Amino acid sequence: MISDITLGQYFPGTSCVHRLDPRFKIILTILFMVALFSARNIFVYAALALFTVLLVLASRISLRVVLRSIRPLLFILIFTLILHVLMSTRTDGRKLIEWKWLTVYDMDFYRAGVMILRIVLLVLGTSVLLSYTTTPISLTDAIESLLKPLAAIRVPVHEFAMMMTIALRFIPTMLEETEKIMNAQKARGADLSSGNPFKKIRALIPVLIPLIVSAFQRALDLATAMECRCYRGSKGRTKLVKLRSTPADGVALLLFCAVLAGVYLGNYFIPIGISVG
Amino acid sequence: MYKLELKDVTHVYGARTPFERCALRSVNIGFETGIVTGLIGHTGSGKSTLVQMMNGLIRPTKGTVLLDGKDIWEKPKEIRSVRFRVGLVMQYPEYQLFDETVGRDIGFALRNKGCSEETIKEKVTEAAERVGLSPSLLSKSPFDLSGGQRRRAAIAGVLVMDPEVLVLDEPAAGLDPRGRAEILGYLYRYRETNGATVILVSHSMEDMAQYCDRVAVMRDGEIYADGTTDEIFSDPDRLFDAGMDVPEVMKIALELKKRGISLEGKLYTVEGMRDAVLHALGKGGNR
Repeated sequence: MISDITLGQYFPGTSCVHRLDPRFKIILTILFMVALFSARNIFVYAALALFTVLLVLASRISLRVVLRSIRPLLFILIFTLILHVLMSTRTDGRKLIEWKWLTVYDMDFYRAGVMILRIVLLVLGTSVLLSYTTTPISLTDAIESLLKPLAAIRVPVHEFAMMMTIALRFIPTMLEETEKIMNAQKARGADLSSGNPFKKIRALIPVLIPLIVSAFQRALDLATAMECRCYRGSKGRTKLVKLRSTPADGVALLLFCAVLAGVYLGNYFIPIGISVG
Repeated sequence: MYKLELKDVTHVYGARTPFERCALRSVNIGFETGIVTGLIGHTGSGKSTLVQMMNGLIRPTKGTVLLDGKDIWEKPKEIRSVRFRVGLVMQYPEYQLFDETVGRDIGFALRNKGCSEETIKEKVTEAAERVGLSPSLLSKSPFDLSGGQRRRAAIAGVLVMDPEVLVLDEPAAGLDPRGRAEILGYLYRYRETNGATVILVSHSMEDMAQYCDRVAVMRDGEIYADGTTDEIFSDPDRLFDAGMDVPEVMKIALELKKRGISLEGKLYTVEGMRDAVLHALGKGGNR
């Protein structure tokens, strides 16, 4: 059923991660990513992994859900492993297999492991910071607010943000509408699920036509409604819900800066371990 | 035996997600042949879910749906044959119109069923007549019709199947009073001529009082009250408890009762009230 698709993956909650200012969350995510890609040795990675786990725990999102976000990555992870082990041209560490053109060193496995850890941490960290704990709407607000300086060089930041908000707002509505129309046609004996692909596409016509017609109607209605309320773009417009940063946001920012600094210090002072990446 | 029976049906939306919601809890209800049953309840009480189970659009999480005593989900692949027998008119059905002409759109169900073109033509004309659509409209595009005409065309698109059970989800919503009475009148007549079992979902207590033989009140995914129209309206306090109302005309009777004037009869319809008042006056009522 269409309604089973979780949209934007947002999970409602009131944890400290949920309550952070979305603008800060975007910045924190960037800092986190930089830290992850700057790490140069295994101990620093271990520390970052621990930090990510703490982050997940702080968001109070069930581990089962978080781990489920890794599943679609499985293919990429396996691909990474194969690429690193079989295709690597480095020749360090102990030789494990030598067969024709293929040579496998134990260091290849080590590098592959680090790479996989990096990808997993990246997905976990960003999804907990952004997609799981921030509504798409507040994310758009935050992007608009962060990009505001660009308005000075005449980039229509507000209009882009408005378009994004409207698009996001109407995804669930359109899905609901699709399901309703599909049900209405099924009630008249339409067969939407069997037959060859060509037949299936043809069977969708009775669903698509009403859907497109109503989407246009909705767009016209919305435009009229906006004009009736004197909407004319960003000029002189204020926000009902202002994004407000709290001391907690500052603390989070300091924490992430400290983590980033820690990563650089770790890279510098712990020369043991083998450089990666 | 019931024509259509729902036994112990439960339905859960979004099972095992944070958005899990139980729409129906162990509902038992049966519908006898040729009876008009009204289904009433607030938004979110589970009416729409229940209605969509009747023709197999929703498969119950638990429980069975029986049509003429046979489980409709016995062979899930043949569920379409049930949909031709149990006609469902969804809310705001005018949004389902898609074909080039009104006539072709009304005939959509029959083409899905695999009827011959002659049969389709004949039945489409008949169905249009049943809802009072003039034959000249059949060759027009559905998008050129007025709102009321489109509603009728959409309803004709279900009636064309000659369903044995007709399920209507708010068929008159958003129409003016005259359009309301006309549409409901046509549907009532369909019951008279075809002997169909009718299930009418509505928010309007007046519709319930006027058209239904029996009323079932739903609340929080359960059947809160179920009985003949007489029984349901004889206990207005029970309706008020469920956050429901009574027909406007009945409110007069209730106010009179508070002032010590008891009337007898079908006080929930205008005609019944009129008779009761005349009767009371004729018996020497001196007010």
